[in-house]
Amino acid sequence: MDKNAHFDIEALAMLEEIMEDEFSELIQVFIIDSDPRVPAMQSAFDERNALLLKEIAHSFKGASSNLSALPLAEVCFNIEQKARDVDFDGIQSLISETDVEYQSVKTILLSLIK
Amino acid sequence: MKILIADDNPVDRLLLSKIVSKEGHHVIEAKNGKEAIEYFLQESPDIILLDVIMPLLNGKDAAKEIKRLAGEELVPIIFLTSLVDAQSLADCLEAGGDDFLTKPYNHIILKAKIDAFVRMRNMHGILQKQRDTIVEHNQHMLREQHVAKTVFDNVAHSGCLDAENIKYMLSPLAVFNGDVLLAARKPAGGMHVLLGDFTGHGLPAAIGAMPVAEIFYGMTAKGFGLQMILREINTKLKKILPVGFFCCAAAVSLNFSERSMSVWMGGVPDCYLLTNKGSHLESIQSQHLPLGVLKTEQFNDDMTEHSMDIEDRFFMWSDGIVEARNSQGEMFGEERLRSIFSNDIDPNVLFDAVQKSINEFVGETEKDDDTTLVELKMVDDEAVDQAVSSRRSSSVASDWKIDYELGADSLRNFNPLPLVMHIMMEVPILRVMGGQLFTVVSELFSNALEHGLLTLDSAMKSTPAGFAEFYAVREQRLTALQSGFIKIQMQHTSKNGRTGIFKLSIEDSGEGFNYKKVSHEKALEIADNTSEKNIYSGRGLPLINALCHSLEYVGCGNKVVAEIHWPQKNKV
Repeated sequence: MDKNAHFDIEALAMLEEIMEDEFSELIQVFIIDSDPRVPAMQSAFDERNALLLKEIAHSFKGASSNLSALPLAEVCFNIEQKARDVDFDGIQSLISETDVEYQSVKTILLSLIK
Repeated sequence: MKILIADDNPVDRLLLSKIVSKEGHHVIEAKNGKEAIEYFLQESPDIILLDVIMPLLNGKDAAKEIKRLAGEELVPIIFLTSLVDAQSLADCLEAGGDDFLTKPYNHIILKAKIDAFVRMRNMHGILQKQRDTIVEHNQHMLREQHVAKTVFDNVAHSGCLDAENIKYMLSPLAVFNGDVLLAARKPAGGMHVLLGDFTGHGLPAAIGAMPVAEIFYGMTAKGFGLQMILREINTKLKKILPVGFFCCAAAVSLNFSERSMSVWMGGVPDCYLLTNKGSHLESIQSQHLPLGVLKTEQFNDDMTEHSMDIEDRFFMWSDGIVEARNSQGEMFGEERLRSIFSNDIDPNVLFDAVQKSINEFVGETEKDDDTTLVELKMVDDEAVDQAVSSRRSSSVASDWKIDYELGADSLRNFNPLPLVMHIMMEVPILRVMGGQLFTVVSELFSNALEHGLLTLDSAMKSTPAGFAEFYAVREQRLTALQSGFIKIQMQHTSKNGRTGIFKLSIEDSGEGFNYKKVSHEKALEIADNTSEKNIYSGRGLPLINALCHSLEYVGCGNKVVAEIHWPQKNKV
């Protein structure tokens, strides 16, 4: 899988350097924390709970940006903005996009700590 | 440094903790705003990193509470946010945040921000410590000033400023007043008043007032004239004040019985003498340099004499009055002052008119000097005396009588005169006549001892050889004295503290002498002080007689009774 398409490579390398031994712990925490997020966004959207959706997207955006997964952060930001404006048009496809992007990110991250 | 990180996102928390602890700081982690406040109280962190959006209590509300709890202490709060719009960032600072850090976190920027806030916090700590030190010093200084002020007021007290014939206004610029106003009754009647204006104001100016007051009150009570007092004050101030510091002064000696006033003025603005029921105004100018400028031998104590009728008034002021400024920086000036006096105002309300006029002129303007204003009125002697004596009578021995008998043993070894003098000195008016009383008592006591008891003849003293012999025989006879006594009886009575009689009688156990026979023949000689030779066995009586209201021998001549009345006529 192409790391370049899903991460800011330089930032990720820096992160690895900063975290030292705790890099794998950081990734595990990220995955544990993020796994329930796509299903949670889906159910918030199903309930048309814009506020909840906005909060989940905002939080997901923050965490993924800190791991330099910028495309994932970008799509979360789009959801956050639409949810803030209570504009549900195209949200479903954005959630699907998030799911796909997150799976790629997860795969790459897990490969880094094997 | 202890750094509190509050973020609900475990990834962000882990990452931040790592960055911060790698820099050597101690990290405390909180998962929401409530925990953040809790840990803030428990751990007192130095810096707080606070996520904006958190469950239970969001970052902004937590920040407000933490800032409130921190009070005066500076606890920097850096908001963590992925919010990017300007308003959201501004809101963070509005809530009490000191800075913000946007996601994704950049460890270099985070480190730089933490370092900057550590510096700021240290500096704030130093500032607060210095501020506390200043506050402490200031309080200490104020406490000291109040103690000093108490001492100062005890020394430079206002004397008899509350006398009925004095009106005054004293407004100090600071705790201590550089203007000094003193008034004291003269023991023999009349009053001394001194208005002094020291260079500058506040404590440095006021400190010079202490010796001035000491000298003024001390010497006035001892009966010294104002010229002597001014001379002494000038000498003292010349000695203690630094160059360029001095005391402008107006000093007045009021004589109520003669209805006159003597004035000495050095360096003060013109004073006004208002006479003829307020119809005539005379300005009196300073004729001298201020006190403390000239050396003692150059000092001029000449005073001007002015006669005053009852109700005539004398006004004096410090230059703070003339130089008082209004909001435009204009000075009150002598012209304005004089114009109040030419307005035909009832003399009784003139003082108030001057005071009112100055207050209205100055308005709300900050004062820049001490201001003092005094009015002295000529009144009937009794009006002032009564007020003064009624206040005095409480702590003064006025009516008393004492019998003091000395036996042969005491007479051989002991001189009773200091004790006798000490008892007399408890009456203030007698203190003033101290020198004269001492002459009377010592002379009469010597007579009783030497002539009465030891039967010496002072005719012996007429030649140098006889003089020495007199004292040799005196010593001999005194040592051999086995029996005999001298009785000293003193009595003082006073009427309302206005007049009084001091009666002294000294009786010895000797044979006495024929005073009746000689008194008639030599009556003229007794009245004549210059008479060297008399038949009272050289008892020195002409001198004593001149000092006393009456002097009388009784019985067989072994007892003498002297009376001194006060106030004395032309003797003080």
